[in-house]
Amino acid sequence: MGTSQQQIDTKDKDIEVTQKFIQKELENQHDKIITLDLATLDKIPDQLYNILRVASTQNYTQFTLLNCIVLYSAYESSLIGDWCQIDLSNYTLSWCSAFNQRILEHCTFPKDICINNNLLQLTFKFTLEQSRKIVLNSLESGDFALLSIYELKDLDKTHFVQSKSITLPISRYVPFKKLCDHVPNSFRNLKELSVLLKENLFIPIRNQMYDDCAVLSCPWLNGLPDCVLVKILKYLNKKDLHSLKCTCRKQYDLCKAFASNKKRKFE
Amino acid sequence: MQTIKLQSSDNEIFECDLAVAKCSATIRTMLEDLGIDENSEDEVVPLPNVNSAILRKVIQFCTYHKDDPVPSSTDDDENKEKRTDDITSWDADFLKVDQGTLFELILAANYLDIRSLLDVTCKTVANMIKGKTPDEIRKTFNIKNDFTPAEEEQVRKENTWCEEK
Repeated sequence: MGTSQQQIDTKDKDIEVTQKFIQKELENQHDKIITLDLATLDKIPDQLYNILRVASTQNYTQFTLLNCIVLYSAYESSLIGDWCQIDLSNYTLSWCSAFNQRILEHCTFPKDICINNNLLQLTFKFTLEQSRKIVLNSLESGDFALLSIYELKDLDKTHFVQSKSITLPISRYVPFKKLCDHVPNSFRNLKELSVLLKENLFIPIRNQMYDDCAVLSCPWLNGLPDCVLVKILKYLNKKDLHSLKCTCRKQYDLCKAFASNKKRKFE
Repeated sequence: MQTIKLQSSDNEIFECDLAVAKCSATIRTMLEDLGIDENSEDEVVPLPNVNSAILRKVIQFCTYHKDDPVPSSTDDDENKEKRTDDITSWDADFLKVDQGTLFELILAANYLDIRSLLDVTCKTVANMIKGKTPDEIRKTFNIKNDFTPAEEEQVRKENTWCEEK
């Protein structure tokens, strides 16, 4: 009982600190603030909650929030995966230094984040190989997360650029709100945004990367030779084998062959 | 102490204890069958399938385990689910790496034929699969779901049937 009372006290204190901060920020930045209602935050997924809470103690603008959402969605959709870790002890994002060397040669994503303060633009660059680049921008002034996939072709020593872009009107989903003004709506929209980004942006890029960049298939589970995968299957029980079987065609075929082989040996 | 030089795919040369290198059945075979002279100072064993970052890790593993008893070559009961909870704390710490490195280590252990390393890395991957739902497994390993919705439903049903059984 004592502990839960203590937790409530801490939480009240947190709310008080956050509200003071928000007031202060409001005075400083007027309409460039999105307010966080802690009661609402409690209802959204824990990681996003934590990231946003930390964001709320720093310079907190739509820009910051968008980046949090973008990173969170990337994290959620496994696009970031091994490359980036969200440290929940202090809610910071860090790039994995031990990131697989083979991938690093082809993909400079973690090294290539650049913040251009003048333009208030955060650019995430993914270089798959020399001729293919993916650029993801989140803009403070503009209202987009923009994805472009460039193909650079060397034609008579001149570069020819082709690009495909998806533009998402994020501002529609993250409106500027003053303190306590339609906050629940904002967060409903944030949730929508998260889903939207995930489905329309990150999953397509991820799939595109998997399809285009064969190098990614090698150091991952499905890139292992079957003889090695079978060694892993030997450590799994029936239920885990079934779960693995459900993930994709390759695992389905392999697990099925493994199970029937095992059965045959048993008989 | 006799040493041997190993060359990684990116041309880095590692000088290591011969006993350590011989943890790898592939290197043993190279030395024994291919007539590479163990005593020659200039002889370098090329390992074109292993990069320097991974080779360094492999040498670290083999140095620690060089005095371990050789595991019996006969496979245990094939039909029995094998244990995965017997990873030593040193091995567990050694394998606290990103997934890419883990899979590279598996590939290297397979190529170099180092059974103890292959076993412990496979166990680690198995532990990452255990107890997860298909969706969680996909997320963990970045697996793309390539089933059509109808196929997925069918596979899921197969599983329900098996689980009920």
